[in-house]
Amino acid sequence: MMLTRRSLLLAASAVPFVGAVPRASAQAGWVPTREVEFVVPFATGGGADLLARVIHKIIVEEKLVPVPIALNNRPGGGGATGIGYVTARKAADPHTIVLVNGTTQITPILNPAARTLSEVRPVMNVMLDDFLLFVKGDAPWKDAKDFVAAAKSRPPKSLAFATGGTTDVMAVTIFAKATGAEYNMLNFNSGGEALTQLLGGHVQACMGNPLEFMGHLQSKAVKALGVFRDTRFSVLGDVPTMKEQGFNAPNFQMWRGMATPKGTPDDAARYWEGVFAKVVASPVFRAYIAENIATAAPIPGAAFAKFLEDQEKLYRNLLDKPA
Amino acid sequence: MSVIYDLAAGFAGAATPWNLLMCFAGVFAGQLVGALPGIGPSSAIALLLPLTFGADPTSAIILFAGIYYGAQYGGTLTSVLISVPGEPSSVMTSIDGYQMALQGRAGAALGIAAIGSFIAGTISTVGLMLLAPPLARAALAFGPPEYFALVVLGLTALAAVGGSVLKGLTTGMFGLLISTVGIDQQTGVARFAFDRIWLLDGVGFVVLTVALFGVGEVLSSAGMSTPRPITTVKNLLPSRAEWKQSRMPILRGSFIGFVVGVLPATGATIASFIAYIVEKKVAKDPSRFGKGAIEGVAGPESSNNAAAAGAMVPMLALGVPGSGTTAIILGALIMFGIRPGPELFDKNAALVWTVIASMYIGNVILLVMNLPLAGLFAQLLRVPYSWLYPPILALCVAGVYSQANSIEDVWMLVVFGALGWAMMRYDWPAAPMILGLVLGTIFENSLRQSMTLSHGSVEIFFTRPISAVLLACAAVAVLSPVLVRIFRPRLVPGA
Repeated sequence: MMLTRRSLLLAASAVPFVGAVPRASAQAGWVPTREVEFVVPFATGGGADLLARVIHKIIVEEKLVPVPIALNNRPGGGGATGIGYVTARKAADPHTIVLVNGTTQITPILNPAARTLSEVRPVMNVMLDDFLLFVKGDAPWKDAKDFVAAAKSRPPKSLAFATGGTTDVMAVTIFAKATGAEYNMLNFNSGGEALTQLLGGHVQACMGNPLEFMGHLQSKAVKALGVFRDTRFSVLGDVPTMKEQGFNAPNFQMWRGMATPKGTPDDAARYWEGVFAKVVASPVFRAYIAENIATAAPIPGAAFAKFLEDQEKLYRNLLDKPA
Repeated sequence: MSVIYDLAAGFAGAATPWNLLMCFAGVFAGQLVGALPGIGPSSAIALLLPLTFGADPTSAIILFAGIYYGAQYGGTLTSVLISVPGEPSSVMTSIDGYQMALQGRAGAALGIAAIGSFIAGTISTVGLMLLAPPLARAALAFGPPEYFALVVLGLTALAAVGGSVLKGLTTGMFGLLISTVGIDQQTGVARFAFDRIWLLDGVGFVVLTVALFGVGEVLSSAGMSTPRPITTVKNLLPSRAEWKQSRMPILRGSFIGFVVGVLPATGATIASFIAYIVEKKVAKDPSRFGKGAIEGVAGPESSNNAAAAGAMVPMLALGVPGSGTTAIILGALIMFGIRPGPELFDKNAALVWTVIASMYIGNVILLVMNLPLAGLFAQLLRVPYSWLYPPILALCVAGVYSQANSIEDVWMLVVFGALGWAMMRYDWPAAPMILGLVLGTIFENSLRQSMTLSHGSVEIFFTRPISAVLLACAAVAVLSPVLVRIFRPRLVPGA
């Protein structure tokens, strides 16, 4: 029941500095020579921030870079404030790394004044989060087909979704377009609040990440009717995909990755790619992914850029905002 | 009986030297961050989270819970002494608490806050222990219309704080207007942001509070032609009479705080607002409020502490966050491999009961720590004010900057600080404006969510029983002074 002395020592050493012992690196080319700033364009305590802290901890504890690395939260404007800071103060600086995610991509589509992904050089995607259709455990629908049939048999917008943010809204929009039914949408501050509304019976369904719903799924307070994936989830093997149920819904997952400022030289970008690949492969990261019921998805460099381009098209299409 | 057995086991778990140390560290850190504007319990927990990876989850949750309710004690300190509320839930405290400090009664204000917080914290921990599962289920009955009605009830406080009803309503409306700046939650579109990225998140609560209360107070004191007299600190602890006045407000505050805290997404801030209005409504002489009424400190302070324990109810019993801070504690549970959900109470009984036991211990630690400190900190006011205001201004600027590392926030502080000075100079109350800003977002969102749900019909507010009752309470709160004025001449002829 106690913290061991070792874990306490580890904790003490997790303060944002690594031992200054340079690690013999096989990679030729660029190596950081001074303190690295890790910019998190989101507030402390949110999901994005927690991921950043896990990545930071892995880099520090496994001594993946030979210099100290300091976290800097610059929250605001759906990621635009933090990336604006990078653009203004850290242009082309390879000693800066930034956390980016789907929200940073959606922000400029809705608010063109906010510039985000166009201002950074994406280096590597690290993970993907899934979306599932949830209803209450005692709801009369067995699968997504039942649910859609019920929606179509009533006046439009009779069934309501509670959503916990822009990405949930996108998932509902995809579902509505793929199934040809109309739904009512109520947006809340977080997935947790949306879940509370579902449990209270104020709405009929939620579209959310498995993490928040897992405990309730196990106690059968909610059930999952479908997932937006090509193949079934290994953890939730009994939840059918939307495609299996005959809905032609595109694969929809929320991505999270790392970037450096725009104009970072190629050799520095390659260096960071190597670091993040080691992060994703580490046991701590794998444990984090497992606890969050997410998918580790290292997509490096050019492939990441292509992936982001496709995502951008999908988002713009869903939001009716062509480029 | 199983409650007693579980609790005894919990105490056994919480009383290990290491867990006691964690509990002390938590409440101490909480007290500290609560006193500093800008950094709140949620950021403190997020910052400490990586340090606890690999540690025992029970110790870590004891630490985090300690930070959470400890912060409610800490917020009192700066609100009373220098009129800078460290936390949203301390705004109401600063109204009467600061007036008490000016009268040399800072020790009494801080003392009653500590005692009230202790009683409220203990009462609501008992509530958490005995009622968590049924209460958490009851809280689920709150959908958008019920939240809307609750916020309407909270908004009736606009007229209750500050002297003039008209001025209170005006600044309250201004607060509501400010709350519409930024990204609209229902559609994701920016409003009144003028293409400024830093306005996308709207005007921060901390910025406005620190500006209107802290900077405004410093500027207006500095602008006086005669230097403010050095306060003589009278008694360091509440007198017997003051304690008598505060007993009922503490009990009422505990009850209100616990119930409002249980409702997800409302939390300590609304609880403290409602407790203040209730005290003013039941007071024999409401005109004392705003001029150093000890009930105005005892009620809200008890209420915000009780709410912190109340917010743990949905977290422990349902696995849904009751406030921003408990959302982070939930995230921490997940990191420790504990899946929050309706079965937490059964599946992780040892953890839950040990944390509950630690909350009793933490509240005792806070009381022991705060009673002597109340007198000590009250001495601070013996320092001439001309020496105090530079560090107060520095604290305001540093606090506002540090919450998002944003220089634009500091400029907003300057602008709203000037407004705060003007409002103080011409006697316009600042509290309703803060109230408007805090409640505005929930007001608008729950209204629009309700209307979406009902396809545009307002009937939804009156056909749902909880919402109807809350709206009726709000109507009574608004109309009672009017009715009293109509009927009083007949009841008391010649008055």
